[in-house]
Amino acid sequence: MIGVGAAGAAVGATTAETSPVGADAFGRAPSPNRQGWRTLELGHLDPAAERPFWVALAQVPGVGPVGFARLLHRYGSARAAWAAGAELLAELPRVTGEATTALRRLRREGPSAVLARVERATRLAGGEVLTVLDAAYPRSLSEIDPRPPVLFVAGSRDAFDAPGVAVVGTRRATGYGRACAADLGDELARAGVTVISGLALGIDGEAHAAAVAAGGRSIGVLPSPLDRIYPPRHRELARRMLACGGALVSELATGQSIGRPDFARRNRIIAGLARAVVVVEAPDRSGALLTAAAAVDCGRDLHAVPGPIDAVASSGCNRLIADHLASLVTSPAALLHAIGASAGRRPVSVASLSEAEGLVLGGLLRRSGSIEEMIGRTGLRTGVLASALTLLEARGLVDNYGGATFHPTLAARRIGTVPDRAR
Amino acid sequence: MLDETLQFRADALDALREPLESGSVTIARVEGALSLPARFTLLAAFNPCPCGWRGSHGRACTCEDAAARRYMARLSGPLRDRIDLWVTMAEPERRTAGSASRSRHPEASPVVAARVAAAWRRQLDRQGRANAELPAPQFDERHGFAAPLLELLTRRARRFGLSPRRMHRTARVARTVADLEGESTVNALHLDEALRYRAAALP
Repeated sequence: MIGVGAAGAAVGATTAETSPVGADAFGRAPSPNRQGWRTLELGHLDPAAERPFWVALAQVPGVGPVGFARLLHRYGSARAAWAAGAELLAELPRVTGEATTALRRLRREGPSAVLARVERATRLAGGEVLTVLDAAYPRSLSEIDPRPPVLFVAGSRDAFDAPGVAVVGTRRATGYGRACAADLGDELARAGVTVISGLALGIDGEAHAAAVAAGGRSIGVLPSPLDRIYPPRHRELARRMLACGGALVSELATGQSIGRPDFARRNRIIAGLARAVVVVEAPDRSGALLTAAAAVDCGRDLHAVPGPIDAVASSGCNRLIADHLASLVTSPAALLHAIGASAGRRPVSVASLSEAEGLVLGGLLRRSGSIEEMIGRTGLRTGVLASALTLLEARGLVDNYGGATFHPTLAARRIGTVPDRAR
Repeated sequence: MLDETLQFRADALDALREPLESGSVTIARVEGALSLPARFTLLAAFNPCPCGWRGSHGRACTCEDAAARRYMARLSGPLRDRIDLWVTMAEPERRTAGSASRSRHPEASPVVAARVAAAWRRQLDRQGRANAELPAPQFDERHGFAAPLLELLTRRARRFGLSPRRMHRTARVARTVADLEGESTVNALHLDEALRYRAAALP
């Protein structure tokens, strides 16, 4: 009867069958023994003297976080690597013709001039340039490997000292995912925990926005340079985050024309900055799962919000839980408990609602639903129900996030008592 | 009746603007222009994305985000404004609890038909034409729009980001909701019900 579905199930082989030998929990091949950051001794380097060479070297295409560590292993300092000239390219994992040309151009410009140019562009975007050697370089990032050698940061430096939790998930969020992300962002912010995410549409944006709305700190890690906030639709959100004592972070040099946003590197920084990572909603093969993998790599606690077992939008989260990679988030309060934070105060607002509005909101607070479902549950006439929903929506108490299902918002949860007569 | 509306080209769809607004089409040729009557009710159905599964509970959408946005953009803003009633359909086969209890007592068609006929007569008796053709300056007491209601409409329009055209369309729909309930005055409940049928925001 429902045999059609079985074909699809057979295709989805388990991780264990398709993974290379010795693969980790995420099905990735074991990485070759590399000369990483952990084994580097950097204490003897003079931050001020090294700075121009770090910034200039980081501008060379192919000198990523991994390549930079190799250069430091080989030459001892960025200054010495720079002095090696084109020879240094031989140390890098992948070198393109582009790298050779860029290195020649940067050497002509000179490291001090490169530093001055990059610093000027970063200042114009309201940020500053930090190298691993700087005291202001986020401490949590100096624990991870590979770590970004140079970071571009706007906003409050204090934001990095307070404990932070990353809230990440799919861009194609459902109403359920959005409501959960907002709920978690709000609870964390109220508990004084910094909410870290990638400023993407969907889950990321909801978490940031809720944190800011609660007056809390939020750090946005960009896949783009500071002067080109991606996605552009979140420019205003980024501005509000800065105004609330938050920060923006990018690994890409300001003022540099780069082709496409770099999500993989962004995800690693998100996990590195956070004390714990929560995946709110992610289908299989979601970018959020890369952040989850990065969290495991750098020893961060991983949590996931479960979804119905037939919900594609949550299949990635459900798998993380099933594979014992993430703990299951039962509620925002339980998450706070798990990370050792205590819940902040919730303002209680009083709303005067008509009987029908109270009935509808009370019903939605128990379980989200479509108009059709709510007709069945409240017994209200379609017209009365429709107008009640519009009024609740106008007052910011319910939202359908563009779909057919209506969800109560954070503001609705804050209302002290709602007449709950929904059957 | 257009099924899979967004499979049409954007310029072909936009050609519907003129007849939807004026009730006639003008064909201009070298020999001159000819106006033909074209008053009709447009019924347009479409999926939220090219593959059709965006927002689905049980199946993954395979479209790029940009492709889905381009798809929805085939319906231009002005054309969106000229569609009075928007209804988002829930997935029919959601296996969640509670779905069995919906629509327990569907009304019989003759009952609905009689109500529609009565509402139509009220419109003709009051203003000699359909609410859809009611010009904006006539949103006044004589037509059942009290000043506080128009203030509420302005507030809601600002809250939901409605264009002036959309706002006027909403007032006409609210007038029709009141007519269907046999009431001479449009109230806040009628207006809020009419607002339920506004277009969803673009993805």
